[in-house]
Amino acid sequence: MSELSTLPGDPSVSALQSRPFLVATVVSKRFGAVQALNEVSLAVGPGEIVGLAGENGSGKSTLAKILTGLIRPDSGELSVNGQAVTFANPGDALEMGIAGVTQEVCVVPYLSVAENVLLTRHRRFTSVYTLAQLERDAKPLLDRVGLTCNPRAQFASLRPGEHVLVEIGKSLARDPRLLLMDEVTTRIGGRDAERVFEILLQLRSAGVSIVYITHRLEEILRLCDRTVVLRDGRLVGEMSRAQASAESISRMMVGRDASPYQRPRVAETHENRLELRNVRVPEIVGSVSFNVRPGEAVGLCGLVGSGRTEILETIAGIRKAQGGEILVSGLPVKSGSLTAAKRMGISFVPEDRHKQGLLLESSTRMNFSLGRWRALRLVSRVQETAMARLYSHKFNMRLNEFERKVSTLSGGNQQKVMIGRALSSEPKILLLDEPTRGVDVGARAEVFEVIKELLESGMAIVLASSDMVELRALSHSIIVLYDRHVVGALTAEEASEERLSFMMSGGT
Amino acid sequence: MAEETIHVETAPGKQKNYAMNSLKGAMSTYRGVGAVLILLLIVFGVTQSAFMTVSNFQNIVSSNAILLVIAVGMTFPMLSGGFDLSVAGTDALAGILLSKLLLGGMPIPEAIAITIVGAFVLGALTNGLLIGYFGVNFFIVTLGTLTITQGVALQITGGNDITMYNEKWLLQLANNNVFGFPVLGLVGLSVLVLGILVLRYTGFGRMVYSVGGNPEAARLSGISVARVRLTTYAISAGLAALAGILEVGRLASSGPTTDSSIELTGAAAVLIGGVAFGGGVGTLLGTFLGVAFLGVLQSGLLISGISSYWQGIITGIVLIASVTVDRMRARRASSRKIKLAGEDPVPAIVEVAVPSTGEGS
Repeated sequence: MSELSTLPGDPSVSALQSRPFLVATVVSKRFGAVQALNEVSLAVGPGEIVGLAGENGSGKSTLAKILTGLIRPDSGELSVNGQAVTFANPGDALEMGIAGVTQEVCVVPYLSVAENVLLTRHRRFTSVYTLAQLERDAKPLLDRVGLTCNPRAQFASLRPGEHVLVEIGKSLARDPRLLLMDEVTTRIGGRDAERVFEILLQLRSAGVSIVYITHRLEEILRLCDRTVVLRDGRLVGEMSRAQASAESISRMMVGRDASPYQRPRVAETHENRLELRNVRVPEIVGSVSFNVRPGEAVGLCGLVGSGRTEILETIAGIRKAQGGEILVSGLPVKSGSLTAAKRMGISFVPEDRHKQGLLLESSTRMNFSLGRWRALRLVSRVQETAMARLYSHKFNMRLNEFERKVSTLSGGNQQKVMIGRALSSEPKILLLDEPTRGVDVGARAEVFEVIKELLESGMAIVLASSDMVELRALSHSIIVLYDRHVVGALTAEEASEERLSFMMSGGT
Repeated sequence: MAEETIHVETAPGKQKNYAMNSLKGAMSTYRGVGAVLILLLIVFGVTQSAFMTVSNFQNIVSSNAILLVIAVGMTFPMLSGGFDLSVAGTDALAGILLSKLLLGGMPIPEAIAITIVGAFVLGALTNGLLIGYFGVNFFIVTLGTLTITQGVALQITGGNDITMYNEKWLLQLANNNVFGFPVLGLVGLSVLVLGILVLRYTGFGRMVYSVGGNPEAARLSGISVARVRLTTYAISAGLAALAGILEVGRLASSGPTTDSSIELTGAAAVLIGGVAFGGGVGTLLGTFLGVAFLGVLQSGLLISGISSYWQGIITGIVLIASVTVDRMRARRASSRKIKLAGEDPVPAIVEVAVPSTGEGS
């Protein structure tokens, strides 16, 4: 690809001064139809902070899980201190001196701080210890992360920032030689983040290797001695501290040059289908205002936790706005009522298919008709099947066999079932939250087609996503969110992927 | 909407397939409990001449009709992802209430109506309200209401049974046959059929399944999860009261220990019948087969002269085995699914439809 030659990164620069502690060689991992990691090699030297950057789905977390023994690679090798290793579970990785603070919850909320910090140490059934001993053992670890709270305090009673510090303390309990940090600062505020950075720099000077995964470019620039960029499961480049800049990293993460794309033109009308007037969304700083015309798609661009889902849920009536007005075709909608929003023609497709969307153990037909039932009315299977067939046909979803359990469908088809269901109430406004998350490329293209057709037929769409290709391909204007703030509104023409990536990662 | 009808009409072959598929689905769903039931029938039928007789089957039907009513009631909260332990207490208390009302001179229809409606309302206001609206754990709430209702029953009666020999109408109703079929069995089967109709053909039935299958998805689809849950506990209490009434007719008495621990037998029947403990999966037909299995087993053991203590042992083994086999089958199916997904060919339209892949540079 041509853009590689324009990269400032030169792999030879990153040659390690000393023998690497951990080496991963041509590691690959496949989940179903998705090649999550494709022949990635990585070496981390002692006392080095290596940044791991990439968009959602680029393979960062998969690599992190392989390095900490949570999953096993399909192929490729790991070696620690020059010795080949295989990790059957996280315990094996801990034995080799590799610990991680991941996005998964690895603490027991109802145990005390001291017990949590020492969770990986007392691992034998027959370990016996007293409370005093426990506190004595926990003290140096708590000191190292600068936690001054009572070691007997219940973990759950602490602030989120302190939670992260406890987790770091826990990961230090086994004296790791390599520490892996996966998006730790997204959960905490600025002052606690500063504390985390200090700890990491101290660890580095003590010779500990650190792999630091983040979406936030400014953190990479500040902390990392070297940055490795992943894209679509491949390693696409590395750069030294001197070479790295927010622009160069985000260009490498995105890896494409912008090309104009024909999105359906919005009808010449001044009528607003959906209008948000200074809506105060719970948990979002400031107020949100935008308009959506028939046939227009507005994108909400932001990472997980940036507030995009909260905005959608407020429009859908799942959350109650704390002020402002939501209007549909000029008429105000009662806030905080799902049924009121539905009656006004607002339909919502939630982000998490498995947790929020589908009855996994039920048939496709049942899932299509979920939410259209009245308690005291009769239902008809024939009619339900006909409805399901109608909507799947109308949007070219190529589904049949409506009696099949929905859990046996592919991710793409499950997504289509959710969109089909949302459409079956004949909405005027469709809210989509990450409509192509976890679906393969083919299904993704089909979902794109469905959305484009909807726009052509005059649907008003609000699309929340962290996927810039999707946002740019489908939306006419894009609102960018970062850390629960609206940080900008761009027209499709202004919204280059570099610019979006830069803004949604907190660049200004 | 014209389009809709066109689609139905253009697919008559599909219609036939659909019937075939649902038959196949039923066969595979019930093959576990069905096979065990048939096995029992064959073994007892061949070895015991007294087993395959009309009078024995009349006996099986009438002595299990009450369990069937209880189990049908319990199926509702279980399908919605809950559980009702309190049915034994409601059952006993309903019998006592009915006896007191009748002894007080109230006509039978009114007394029955008051008992059932009272239990329905009480189930809604205790179990239903606490579990559905306050989100208290179902196990704790219904364990509490079980001990409370049993305690109240003991308190009212002083621990003694109330004999009811004078209510000829009720006794005859409960112990007679219509065209050779026990009246109790007819009541039980009517409840079953009504339950099947409600679960399969009403919106409420669909809501019960969706609340059990994925409460979050149900909530986001505008279903009032709390109201659905409340109603399931009201139904199970109402049917427990009906069971208590039938028991008064059958035994000609009521008492605080009548039908005690029937909640566990009922749960065993429901679970053997294939209702998932977590909710969302299962049918009343399965519950019926579960009850039939327990009834046939009990009768067969009795006729064979085998100690009735074996009943509990066999029931336990079948319960655990059927759920374990289900679990393993599901695991195998899911691993097969992952393999299939891996082999999915990527459709050719990818190239056309994914925009802006960078030829522009």
